[in-house]
Amino acid sequence: MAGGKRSDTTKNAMFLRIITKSLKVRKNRVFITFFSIMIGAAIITALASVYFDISAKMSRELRAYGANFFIGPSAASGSRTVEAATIDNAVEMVPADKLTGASPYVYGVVRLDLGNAVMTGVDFAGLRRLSPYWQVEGKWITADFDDESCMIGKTLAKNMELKIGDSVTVMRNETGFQKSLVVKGIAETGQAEDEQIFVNLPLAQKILGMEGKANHAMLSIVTEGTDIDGLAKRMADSYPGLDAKPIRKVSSSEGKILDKIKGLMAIVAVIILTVTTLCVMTTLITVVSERTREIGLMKAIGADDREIVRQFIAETLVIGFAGIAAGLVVGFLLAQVLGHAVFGSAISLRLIVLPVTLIPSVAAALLAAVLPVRMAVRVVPAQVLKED
Amino acid sequence: MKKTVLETKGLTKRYGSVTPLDSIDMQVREGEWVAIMGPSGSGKTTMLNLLSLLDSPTEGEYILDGVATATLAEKERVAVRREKIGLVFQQFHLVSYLTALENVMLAQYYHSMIDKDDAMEALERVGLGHRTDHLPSQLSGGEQQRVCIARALINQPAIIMADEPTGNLDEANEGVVLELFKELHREGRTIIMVTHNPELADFADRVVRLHHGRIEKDA
Repeated sequence: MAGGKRSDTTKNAMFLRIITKSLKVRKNRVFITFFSIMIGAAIITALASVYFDISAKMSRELRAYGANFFIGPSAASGSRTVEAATIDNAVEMVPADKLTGASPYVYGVVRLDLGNAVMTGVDFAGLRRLSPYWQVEGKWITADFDDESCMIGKTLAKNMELKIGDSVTVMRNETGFQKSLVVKGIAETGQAEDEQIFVNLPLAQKILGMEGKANHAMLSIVTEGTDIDGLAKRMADSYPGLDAKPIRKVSSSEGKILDKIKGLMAIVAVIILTVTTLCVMTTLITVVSERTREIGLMKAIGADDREIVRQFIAETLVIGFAGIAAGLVVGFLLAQVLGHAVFGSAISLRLIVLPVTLIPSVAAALLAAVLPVRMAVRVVPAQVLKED
Repeated sequence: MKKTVLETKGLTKRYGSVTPLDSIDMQVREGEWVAIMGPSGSGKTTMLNLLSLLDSPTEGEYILDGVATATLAEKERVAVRREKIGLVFQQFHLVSYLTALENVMLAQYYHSMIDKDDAMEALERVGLGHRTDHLPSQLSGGEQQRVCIARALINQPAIIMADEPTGNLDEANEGVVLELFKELHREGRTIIMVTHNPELADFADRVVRLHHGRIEKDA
């Protein structure tokens, strides 16, 4: 038994020796095959890494296009305002990791030095996350206790001839409230906000005489993995005076864009794999053509078809696995480049990417070897050994 | 009377209307050295391909060391060839990226199991004990042919079949290879050799002359 085991080891050692030496002697062909497989595996790894990260990343990315969830007084309540505390409680119901941003809003008309304008009270930290697309000249208001500053929409600033650092007096006729505020930032939004003046919520509530109230709240929620309709229903059930609903237009188009991008990536992956397979196959066919005499000799001195298949498949797999291993590394780096270019963030390494790269890449390498191996098996020793 | 190791009856090979080998009846006894001669196109190579099981006949019988081979499938022919025949080629046909020793071990690898000591011994036997780690490109033609002979011998085949074994060698090397064959013959090996070289044929027990695919003379 021990002898049998030893001779098996020697046979395996001999097999490995044949494979390695055979690969070493054809460095150029081996490199081309290795490189083709590496490129294929790298692109699949990069696409798969992005693919499995994209849902989360894209969903957050699309959140840059504004709020997609609304909370306000229900029609049944007959009121135009709700308690700000109720809104806070409702917002608490959104899982923390899914909430990109949220802010209550309170509105009212005020008089400025040169005319009337809509004043909006917000939570600036929340607003900033809701509206990352705002182009702000100057600075955002950062402290929620700041009751000396305001931000102004670009159109309003122009009409009122206000610049950063200027003071503007805000008056509310109904309450008789009057306060001078410093313009800290001018916002260009491309929307109605361009004609509004923004202050911290507590200050607006005081000016407008709406302490503790809000007109509504806007939220930005990551849709991937969130039952947004269920969430809306639970909020409305918990707080009967509230109307909570997703802003459908934004939410559903996010899904469509994601599906299209995923489909595009799948097509690119299939094309790349096809090209890799063809490239590897062409190279292997050349290798077999160059080696017909060697194959003929091996058959003449006793190699059967199985042995020939075994050798060629083993050589292909050695190059294949080396190429795939290199491809995984290169692909992951490529994914980081894509991640930073498209999402401005790193792409995390997900284990699922390993089988997703490995299985189709190995399959492509084996598929590429089918025709060349058949050519090798069909070599007739009597024919090739006689040729000079 | 020594036993018959090889027998053909009506062995024929046809390619369409061409018949390079036509109804060959021949017997070879154990330990015999048979030279196959004849002009180009007389069917020598076709005959050696059939006898060494590299090709299968269109008609006829071929019994090799007790095995009827004419109707064997390719896979079985490979097995019989591996078991019973040692091949020596005119162009040596060594695997270029394997050393002399590894080339000999390759025949062991396909045959059964590998014994490095045996392979070394076979190379020493042909006078190449000091060149075992050389690649074919580092060996002279004569040395390559001796590796080829060592490889043919390694699995103790019933018959050595050689196709113009000195055809690519200079005179000095031809002498060395001839000596080897003479020694193998003295040991009682059965040898079938295709050759153009009358000097080589002189040492054979029998010369089979082919002409137009038929045996013209067998003496």
